[in-house]
Amino acid sequence: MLLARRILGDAGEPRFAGKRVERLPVDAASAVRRRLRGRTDAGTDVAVDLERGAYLRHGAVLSDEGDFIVAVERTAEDALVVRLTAASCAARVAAAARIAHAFGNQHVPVEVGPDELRVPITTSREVAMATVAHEAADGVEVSVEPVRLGCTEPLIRSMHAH
Amino acid sequence: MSAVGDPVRIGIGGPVGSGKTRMIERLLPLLHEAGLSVAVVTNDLVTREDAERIAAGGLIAPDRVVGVETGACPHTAIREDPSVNLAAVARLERDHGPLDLVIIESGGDNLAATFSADLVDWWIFVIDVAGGDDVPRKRGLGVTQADLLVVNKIDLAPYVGADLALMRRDVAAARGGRPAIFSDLGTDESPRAILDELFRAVLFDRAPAAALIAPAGQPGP
Repeated sequence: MLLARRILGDAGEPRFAGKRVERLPVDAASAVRRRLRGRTDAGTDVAVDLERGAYLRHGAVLSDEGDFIVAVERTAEDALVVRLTAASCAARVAAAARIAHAFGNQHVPVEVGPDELRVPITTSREVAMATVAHEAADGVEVSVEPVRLGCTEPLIRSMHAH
Repeated sequence: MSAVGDPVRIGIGGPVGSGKTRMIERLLPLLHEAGLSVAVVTNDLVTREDAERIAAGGLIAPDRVVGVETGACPHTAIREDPSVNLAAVARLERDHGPLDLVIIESGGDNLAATFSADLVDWWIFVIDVAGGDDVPRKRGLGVTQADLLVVNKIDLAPYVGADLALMRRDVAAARGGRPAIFSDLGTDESPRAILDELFRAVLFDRAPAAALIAPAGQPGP
């Protein structure tokens, strides 16, 4: 078991050039974890024990073993992608507010891009689609696509105070 | 080891009556046997019943058990705003540290309860066969997202008309390869199986040598 206790850097840095890269698959839900265990694509058993608050972004180097490094491979997973395509800025803002309210009420994390909202499917494709079914109209496109959610930074989460 | 003063934190959630407190009672002697320093935080809506039960059970020093009264939906204290639980962990670490492990039991909640990664490093969701053999098929967030799903009280299946074979199929479909254990906490095997998974998945650097096994479903090192 290879034990990784800190993030050493990014796999793209020159100091790691030429080294073989073993990739540890990490999904969006696991990227915020400080302790986890898994196997690299080459079969190395890796245990991760990081400081709290660490984030397992794509390319994060967890170990440098001399001839090879272990790097985080953020995996693509099915996500609901809502694209706002209305020509009017006001119409896009209104649609974004309605859609964000619907997902906020489910307490699911989201990723916000330019004119696009990406939501992990935590229940089922059908339930996720139903959340925005009434919004699917001119100016709003809804699809399920494989996405590397939270590839470089954590997803946004809503609060639920009652 | 983790940073001093920062014990591993695990969550145990699940519906009321599924066996969460009983699981803690069965795990505590095994954790002590493994040489770990352990404390427990329980969450209840408006009482400290679970904390009092664990503290009175003789399985752990009573002052290592803290009861939190959430006063609201119990899942708010384990997911959206875990500050009251974090304060309880800090108090236990201050008074009894260095701790290896803090077990945080959720108040009984519905199938949507999940733990925040800000609060726990790993979590178990407990359901039981008497709650209905259709529960895994309902695919609540606890069933699909927990690091370990425990389907408890399998010994009761014949008495409540639960179809265990159906539950195993539904669990396999809902979990997507993640670990699940069908348990009877009255046996020695089930608590041991849960403990083994705990050591494999999250207490890997504190495990007795025999428990240093490979990731689930894969050959050993």
